[in-house]
Amino acid sequence: MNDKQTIRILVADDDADDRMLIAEAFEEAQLNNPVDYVHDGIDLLEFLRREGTYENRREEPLPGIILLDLNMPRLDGRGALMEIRKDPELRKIPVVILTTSQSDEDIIKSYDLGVNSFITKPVTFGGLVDVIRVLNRYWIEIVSLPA
Amino acid sequence: MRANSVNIQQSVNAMDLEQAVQTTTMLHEADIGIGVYDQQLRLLSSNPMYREMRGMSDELSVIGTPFQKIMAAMIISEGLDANATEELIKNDLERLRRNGQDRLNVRSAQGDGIRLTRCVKPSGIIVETADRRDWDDGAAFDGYRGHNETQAQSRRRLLMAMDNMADGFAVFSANGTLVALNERFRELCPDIRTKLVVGVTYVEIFRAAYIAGLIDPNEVTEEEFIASKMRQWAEPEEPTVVRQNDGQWVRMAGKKQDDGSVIFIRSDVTELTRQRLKNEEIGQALTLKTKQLHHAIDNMTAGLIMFDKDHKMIFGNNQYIELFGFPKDFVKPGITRMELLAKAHEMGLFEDDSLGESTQVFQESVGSQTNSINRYFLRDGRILQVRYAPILDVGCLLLIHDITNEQKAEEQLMVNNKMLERSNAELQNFAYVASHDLQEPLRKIEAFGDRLTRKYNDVLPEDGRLYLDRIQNASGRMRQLINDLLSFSRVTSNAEEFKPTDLNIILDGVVDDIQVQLEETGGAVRAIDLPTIDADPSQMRQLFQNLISNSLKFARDGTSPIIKVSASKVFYFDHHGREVSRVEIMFEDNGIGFDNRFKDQIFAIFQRLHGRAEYEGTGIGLATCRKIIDHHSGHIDASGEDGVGATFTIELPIENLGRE
Repeated sequence: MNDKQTIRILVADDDADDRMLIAEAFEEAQLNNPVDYVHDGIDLLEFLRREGTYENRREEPLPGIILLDLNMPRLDGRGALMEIRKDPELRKIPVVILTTSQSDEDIIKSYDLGVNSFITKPVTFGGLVDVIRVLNRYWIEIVSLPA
Repeated sequence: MRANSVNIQQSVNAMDLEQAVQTTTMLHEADIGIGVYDQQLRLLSSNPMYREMRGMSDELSVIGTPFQKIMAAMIISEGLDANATEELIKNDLERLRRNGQDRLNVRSAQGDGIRLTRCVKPSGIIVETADRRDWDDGAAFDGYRGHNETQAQSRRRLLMAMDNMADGFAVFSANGTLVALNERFRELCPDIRTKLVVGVTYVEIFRAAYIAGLIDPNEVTEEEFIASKMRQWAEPEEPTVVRQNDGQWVRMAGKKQDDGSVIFIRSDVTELTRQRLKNEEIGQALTLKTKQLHHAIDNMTAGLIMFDKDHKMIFGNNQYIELFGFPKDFVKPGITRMELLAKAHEMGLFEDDSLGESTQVFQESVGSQTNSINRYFLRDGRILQVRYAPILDVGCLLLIHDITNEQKAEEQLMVNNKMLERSNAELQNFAYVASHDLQEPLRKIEAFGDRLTRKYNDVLPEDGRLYLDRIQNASGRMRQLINDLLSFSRVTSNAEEFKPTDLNIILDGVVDDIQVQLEETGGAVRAIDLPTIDADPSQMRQLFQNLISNSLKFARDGTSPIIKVSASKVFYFDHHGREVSRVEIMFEDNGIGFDNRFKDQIFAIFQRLHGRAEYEGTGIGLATCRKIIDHHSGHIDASGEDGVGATFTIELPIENLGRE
């Protein structure tokens, strides 16, 4: 079992404001796990596969959980999710969708593609902090993640 | 026999001699026959006419000759035997004795029809008169037959026939004297009838006519009239038709004979003339109508051409020639449809050289008894619409319209419609996308505002906190606005299929949601049983919720809001004449109401009747209601009274398949 405090969290979101708010929410929720941020699907896959600009991260462990935005440029969340689920190295990583979308179509499609949770971004910052707290409580503290 | 002579002599003596002479002369010259018989039926007296008519020989004319013998002489010449004759006479006399009088139609020895009238006088004397006057063709002979006609007999018969002719005739000798005429001629000249006797002259007759006032003296003098009649005398074959004073139309025409005599035939042509005048009138009206029709046809904007059953042209108007640009002398009656079509191709009128195709069109319409419409696309860009109409027993009619402009306008209209549809769809889409995408930056404003407040509220100066407060208030309103706008646009973009919806359940759900609010204000929603209708349930819920929220929002200060919901069925006939039932639901409140002047404004989007400081709201709620009602093919209306309350009435179909 990993030390919970060392489980890395990877956030994929193209919106700098949202990345900042998420970072602040982690802070507010007093979550001290290391967090990495990527900007789109391609960036995400390169990070996970330690390619391109991430070649120097060969020694770093894979993230324990991925918070994935759906609508991103270049390769969107759905495309990235498909790649992750196809990749035997990456497929075991739990993926939580964190998006502004509320549409049934997006929800169904995401679960079809094998997400573990689908969360619509709360409208207020307080709501976002609550979401982060719950995510932490569940995915970091309760759930046993694969090594 | 002598004694009888004495008797007559005695009676003669009893009379004034002169009178007797006159009477005798009169009897002698009378044109009716008179025979007198005594009680023993012996001849007492007879005048020459009687003897002539009776065909009595000198022997039979002797006074004292028995009546039976005179009768028998006539009958035997008919060919009856003695016994039959005797029997016939016996019957005749018995009848006479019984009746006191008798009348017989017989034929004279000359073959003339003669009427015999016998009368038994009180003294026992029998008087028999014989005359020709009352003879008519249809009367039966009373047992007597004529015999072989002599030339004289047939001449008389001819004259008699002439008297009964429909036409009158008069014969004038070469010097203009009337020598013969029939009765009909007289009848046809009623005003100068008495002047028409044998011996008068042609000129005398017409002078008499002039004097009788038959001619208007203001128009024609007597001399002119006579002159005109003399011209007719010279050329009698030229018929004249005149209208007489009695209204009859009479035609007179003559025939000059070789010997210079003239026969005039005068005929009653009243009926013929009336008919002719009527025909002339009809003919004139017809000519006028035809002229009008031709005028109309030549001034039509459409080309018109008519063909007979063999597809030969009957006529075509100028526009037809102009539309196709045919040489003027080419299009003339008798030319066939196929020749015209071939000429059009030869002139290169059609866009493609598809003579075969138009021939086929032509073949299909040949003899067709149904109307059809074809279009010819001309090389010069014009589009001609050809309307084919068969005409029973005549052929067919083609009406050609240049529809180039109409066609262009129609195409333009379709383009415009498409643009309008697209623009509408874009607008719908815009409302949705805009409200959706606006949420994103708004969320950031709210979130960072929130961060600012949380982290730096204490260090912000008083006015800085006020600014921040106002930013957050404004973004809250914007959120409300966006949410309302989203639900407004979702009425059509997220529409669901209609299904039977129990409005009681819908209302209960809405009331549950506002239960806390009702308890706080002491308000209530009172509803009677509502129907089940075909509708989108989520939209019905939104409709009810918006209406009730609206009433709660505009409650009067210090008054518990009471909302009454009632329903009734209304019936009416749709434009197909079918009976349709709809439901009318009323939401009545006791709130602040509104001035009815604004009743239509309140349903417009972003329209508010009150300042934001008084009542919150985006002005979208009632607009959404109307959109939902429109989507359900219904109708919404509002009425209010300031300070009393408002009533919203919605009318919805009960059976509803929804919109396409």
